[in-house]
Amino acid sequence: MDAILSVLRVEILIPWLLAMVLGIFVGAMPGLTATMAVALIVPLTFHTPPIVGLAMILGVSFTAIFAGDIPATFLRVPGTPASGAAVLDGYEMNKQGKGPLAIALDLTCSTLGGTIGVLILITISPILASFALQFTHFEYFWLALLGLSMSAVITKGSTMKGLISMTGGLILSTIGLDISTGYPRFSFGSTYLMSGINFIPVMIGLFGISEVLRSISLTSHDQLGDAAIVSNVKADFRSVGSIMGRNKRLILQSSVIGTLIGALPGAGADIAAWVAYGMAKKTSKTPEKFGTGSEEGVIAPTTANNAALGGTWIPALVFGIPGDSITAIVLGAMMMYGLKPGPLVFQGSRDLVNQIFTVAVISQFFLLILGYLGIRAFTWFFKFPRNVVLAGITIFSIIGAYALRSSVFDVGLVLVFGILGYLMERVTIPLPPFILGLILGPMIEENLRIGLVKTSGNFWPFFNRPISAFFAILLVLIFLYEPVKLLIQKKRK
Amino acid sequence: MTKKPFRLNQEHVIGLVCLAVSAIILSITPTFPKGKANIGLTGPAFFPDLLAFVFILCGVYQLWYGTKNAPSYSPITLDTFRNLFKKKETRTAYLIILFMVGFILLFDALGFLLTTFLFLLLFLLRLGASRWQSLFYALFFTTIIYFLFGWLFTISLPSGILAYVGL
Repeated sequence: MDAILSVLRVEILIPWLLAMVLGIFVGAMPGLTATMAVALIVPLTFHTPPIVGLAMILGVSFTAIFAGDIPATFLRVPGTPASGAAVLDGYEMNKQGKGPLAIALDLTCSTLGGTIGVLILITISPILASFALQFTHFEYFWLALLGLSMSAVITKGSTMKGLISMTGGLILSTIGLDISTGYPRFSFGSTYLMSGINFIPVMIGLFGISEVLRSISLTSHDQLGDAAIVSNVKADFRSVGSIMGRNKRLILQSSVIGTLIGALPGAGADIAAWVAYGMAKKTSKTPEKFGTGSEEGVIAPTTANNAALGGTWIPALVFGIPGDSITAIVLGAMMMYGLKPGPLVFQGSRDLVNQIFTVAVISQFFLLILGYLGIRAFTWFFKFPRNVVLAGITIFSIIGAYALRSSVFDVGLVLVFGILGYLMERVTIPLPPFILGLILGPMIEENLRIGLVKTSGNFWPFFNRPISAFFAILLVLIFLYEPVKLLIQKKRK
Repeated sequence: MTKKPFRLNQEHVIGLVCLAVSAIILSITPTFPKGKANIGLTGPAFFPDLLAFVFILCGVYQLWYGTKNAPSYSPITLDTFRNLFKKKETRTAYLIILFMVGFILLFDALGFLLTTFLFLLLFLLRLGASRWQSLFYALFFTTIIYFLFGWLFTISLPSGILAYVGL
């Protein structure tokens, strides 16, 4: 009760709700991602107390993931990648005149999925945290490497390109003063480079500016959407209760799948939604209806993508390993607040952890209300001039990066990484492993080098401790899985 | 069987970039202080060298992959570069990058208010907004950001030449 009262204060509520409104706006715009919404908001959160900033980040991510389903249902264009699977049956229902029912079902399932995901987070995290207290430098080295490698393997496209992206991020993390000797690496005499590359301008560039450049270079539409198509968008909740009652098991199944997949480092809401959709089809009594406007086809992905958000916080809070690009940003933000995510945060900052959990649960109720209003406002969103939205995003990205250290150098970084992100996407190199590499790089290097000092340069203790060995074997299996699968398929042919 | 001529494609370019980055790292790290192997203290070059080695492997793989799957990728020729400037939308993207470079160079000298306003005005005009619309939104965003960052979060935004008129 104390935790609830401590977050329901005006100075927290106002920025929290405003961030959630921004999440709806960004999420509903095709091309703009939930990560981008978080990236836009992070520079603002550094000027607020930690709980206000974290409430804003949590709120914006929940609403952005849901809002991506609105254009997915009515325009057949997913607002964010996490809504890709929601397009299939949502849009089919819309074509049959059941769009209002589909979006109402979507909103209710998103809220329910999000709540279950957060409840699993609340239950599992403290147990995992007490287990993680046994970890030493050896285990943390493998864990960070494992998390990073999974992000490279799981993300869309080739594993090699994921690995290139990850290694690029790790290389970038070596710029600046060496953690052991204090020697300036790759700084070329620049005081800016000596303090290392801050991940915020990199992230704003990769996810914000590159998106703007991509959007400008691909399309010349004046408006964000075709207003004629979306002029009669509304939600119809009348039969939602009975449909959900019939699909209780599916909702629970999709929530658990979403949370578990979210908890895997690198696998975010988009993968969770696709896996939940596939699983729902496999376990359905009427799989033939999937893709033709099936209610189950709407329930599964929309429940899972919001449940995944709770899941992504599990490795982030417990081990300090981000579950996706959003929690990667959260970790960076927490470090800037002076908090070190990991098992000790459950002891040293117990109150803050409770507040985070409370905010996550209450955000689900706000999502229901703001999501409904967002659906109503959808028509208005899509009449907004596209060029004005792009100009707004660009200038907020630039000034947001400048505001971190009042440094034009950081604005330069935004531009450089904006161009790099644009080029990387052109050649299908995934962006999330890059940012995860930049954030986890110091953790991997520190644990590796301190571990080696402890063992006088002997690598063996990295392999002969039970948990370390388990992580090492898992890492090898992750990388071998795809080539071995291909080899077996080839042999069978 | 006639041997097909080598055609550079995007996979090769990725591989070459990986190798180039590795070469730069490996040419710089020998200047770093050495560690003390007997007590397991690795030097500052240890981790970057390790990553450069991984990048070399990635680069070599990309070169092999690009050659093996050459028919799946369009070759990079002079026309590829010419096409980069053909489409109006792509030229607009390059221009926006130039505007941002201008913003960075002029930010301290002209100050936040002038640079932001001019940047937004040019940005909106180039993206096809009408003069009045561009003027309105440039003013709108400049004011919003000034009050949000400069006033609410008390971040020091450069005044530039407007300092002479007390702004």
